[in-house]
Amino acid sequence: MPEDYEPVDQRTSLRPEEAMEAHEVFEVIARLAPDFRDALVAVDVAGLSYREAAKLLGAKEATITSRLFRARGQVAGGMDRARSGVLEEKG
Amino acid sequence: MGDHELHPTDEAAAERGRAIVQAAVAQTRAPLALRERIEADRTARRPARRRWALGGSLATGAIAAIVAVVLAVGGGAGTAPTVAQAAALARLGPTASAPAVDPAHPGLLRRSVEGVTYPSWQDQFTWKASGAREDKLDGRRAVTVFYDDPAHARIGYTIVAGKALDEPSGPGRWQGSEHYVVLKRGQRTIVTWRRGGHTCVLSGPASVPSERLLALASWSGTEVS
Repeated sequence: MPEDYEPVDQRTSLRPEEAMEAHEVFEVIARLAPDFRDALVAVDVAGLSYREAAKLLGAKEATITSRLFRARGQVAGGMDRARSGVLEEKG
Repeated sequence: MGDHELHPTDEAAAERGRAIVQAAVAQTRAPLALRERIEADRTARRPARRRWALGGSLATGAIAAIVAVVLAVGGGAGTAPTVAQAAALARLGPTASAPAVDPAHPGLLRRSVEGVTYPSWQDQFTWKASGAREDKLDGRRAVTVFYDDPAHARIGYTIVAGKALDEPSGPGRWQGSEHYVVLKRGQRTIVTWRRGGHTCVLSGPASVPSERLLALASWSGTEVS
């Protein structure tokens, strides 16, 4: 990443601690298993419907629902661990 | 991780996760811009009798772009660790004894990472090295030395091996040739800077004022000989 890289969440109105929190959430999302991450990004970040996400990702709607449910739970758990100072290291 | 059956007891966590992601997306420009792009495309392409309106290629590209943003902002596989990750090490506590003071250089400890040596603050600031730990962040060595003050407050000084990490945005201060950035993360205050081409991170509890952390961070230990 170049030195002059501008963070995506750099907003003038954003307090540093808020920027860190958004960054932490994306950090947790980035660490999800790819299938879970893609389902969550498609629906919760991109705003697609379950049907659209299923078609796009080549999975059944029920599978997307399940992956999304698990991914959201893992994000909540990941944030809890991040805030309590427990570091998730990649293997 | 694979697909699993849904458990009703996980519903609260899933709902909380959804709210967390929603809040993060609301703070972040790029995903919002991509969402707007998708919405615009959805509206433009919606035919009268066809509900499936999202162009496949555009949607695929947009999802790939958003995933790229997530990986860039969050640090995905193969990317460099972040200052936040390095700072988190200070909360894990020591796993080894403190390095000794270098008798030849009383302002330094006998521990360094790729040429950057940890300071000994005990004479100048009454913070005494109390322990250490060594971790791997995305395969890179990160060494943390802990310092305690007489009031038993504990701070962690982490140096990450390899190329310097991206500097986070936040209020900064120049001191000499070094730029110090101060961040708040929960109940912790974090100061990060670069020394010898490496990222250094000082993390302490809120009871330690940021000015104190800045004073410690900017004292390299080479002032004493």
